Amino acid sequence: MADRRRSRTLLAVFTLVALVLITIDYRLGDDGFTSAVRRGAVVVFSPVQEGFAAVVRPVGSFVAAIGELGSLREQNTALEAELNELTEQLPSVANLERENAELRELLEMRERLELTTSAARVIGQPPGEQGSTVLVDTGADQGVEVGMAVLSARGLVGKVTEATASHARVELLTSPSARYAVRVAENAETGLLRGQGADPFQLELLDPEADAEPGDEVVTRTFQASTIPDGLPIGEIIEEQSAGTSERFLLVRPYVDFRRLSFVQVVLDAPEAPADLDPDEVVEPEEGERPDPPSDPDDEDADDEDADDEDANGGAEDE
Amino acid sequence: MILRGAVLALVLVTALLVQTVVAPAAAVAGIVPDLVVLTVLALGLLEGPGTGLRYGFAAGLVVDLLASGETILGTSALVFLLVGYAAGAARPYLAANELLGQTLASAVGSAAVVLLSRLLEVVLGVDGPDLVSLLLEAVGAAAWAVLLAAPLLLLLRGVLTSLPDQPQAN
Repeated sequence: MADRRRSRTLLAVFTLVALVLITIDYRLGDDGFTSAVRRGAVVVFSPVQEGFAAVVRPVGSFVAAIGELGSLREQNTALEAELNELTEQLPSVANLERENAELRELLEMRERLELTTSAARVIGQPPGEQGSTVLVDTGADQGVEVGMAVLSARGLVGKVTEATASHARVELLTSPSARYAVRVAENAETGLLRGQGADPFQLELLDPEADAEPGDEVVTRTFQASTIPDGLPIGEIIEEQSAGTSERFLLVRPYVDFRRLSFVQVVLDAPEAPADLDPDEVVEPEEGERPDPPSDPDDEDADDEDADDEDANGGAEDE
Repeated sequence: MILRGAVLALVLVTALLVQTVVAPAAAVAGIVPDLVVLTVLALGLLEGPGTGLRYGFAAGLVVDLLASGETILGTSALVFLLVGYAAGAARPYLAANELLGQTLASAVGSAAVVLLSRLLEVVLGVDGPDLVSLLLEAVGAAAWAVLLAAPLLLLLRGVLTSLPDQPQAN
């Protein structure tokens, strides 16, 4: 009876503590001390995670000792051992070849898109995130910043949402909170792409009547102050989704296999779209090249007034 | 007591490492086995509500700290301590066929974690999956629990019974 009472007391205390933590974090948001504590936890846990990943990654092989060859029998035994050893190494060689091919594809994509990137290995997925984010082994020391795009050899993977000195957290396109401005490559129709976990992405075109067919490619679209480079491949339209309303959604199958991410590239030099035209770079038309404005025969008085205004401006400039 | 605490901490760290590094590769239809939740349920079932809620709170807090900034600190801690306590409280009623009962309780508990977490997210205004995806995730979590709970329970039972000190009364 006393044990049960003690358990209930503990339950009440821990529940209260959890509710206080929730309230503090909810009210403080990203600026609170809880964010600093989180970063600290990632800094501490990431190296352990990285070490563990290195141990369990299937690249190692068991090496059998081969003794000196003294006789044919011993030689035969040794060769058999060597054969077994090589057979055991086969999976790791295959894995190295796969990694090599993946890295080559990544380099090709980087050169094709003329990007400066930082290569990174995916070291794990934070607990309880069900494929929404991954941790990578590159961070602020390599120039990684929040908001930078992350690519695999097949296309856009996501963007950096948090960076420590040596690690970064990447929010994947599959995250239900991921939103990206995109366009259909075939006809430049623009829209908004949403992640849906393991399901295909949901694409909402800005023009609901726009043409978009299964097989059309979806790529990123840069916009004002966007940190995502333009034209990065994302996936292809597979079908139209009937939402039962006037809204029209398309389902997009990603090019990237998010379950098998091992290497990625963080784009360090994504050119930002300017917020406005640079007045120093505006090209003024030469004298006499300015096209005449269309004149309205019914509004000759107004034209005369405009001409007067121009004279006035010219006079002011001369002064 | 110190040794038991150290062993439970080691269990938590191991579960976190396997969860973050190995488990994602085993995802089926995007659903990853949640080993941390399974250890919370297993310890509640094996050791009682006191251990279940204490370990659940600690595990949930670490999960919250390692999760992305969108996860509100304390949500997993609250959910895990509740299911850890509930698993421990259910222990007396599973005596007839212990391992089968514990496995089914783990399945129910895993699904409950998914649903409770989403419920908390809704209350706090956090975006999340739709109802169908949520139910699929809950069923997937329960299926993983059916597969993994029994070996995990046997492993943890073996580890805990080999320790010299007994748990404090819960």
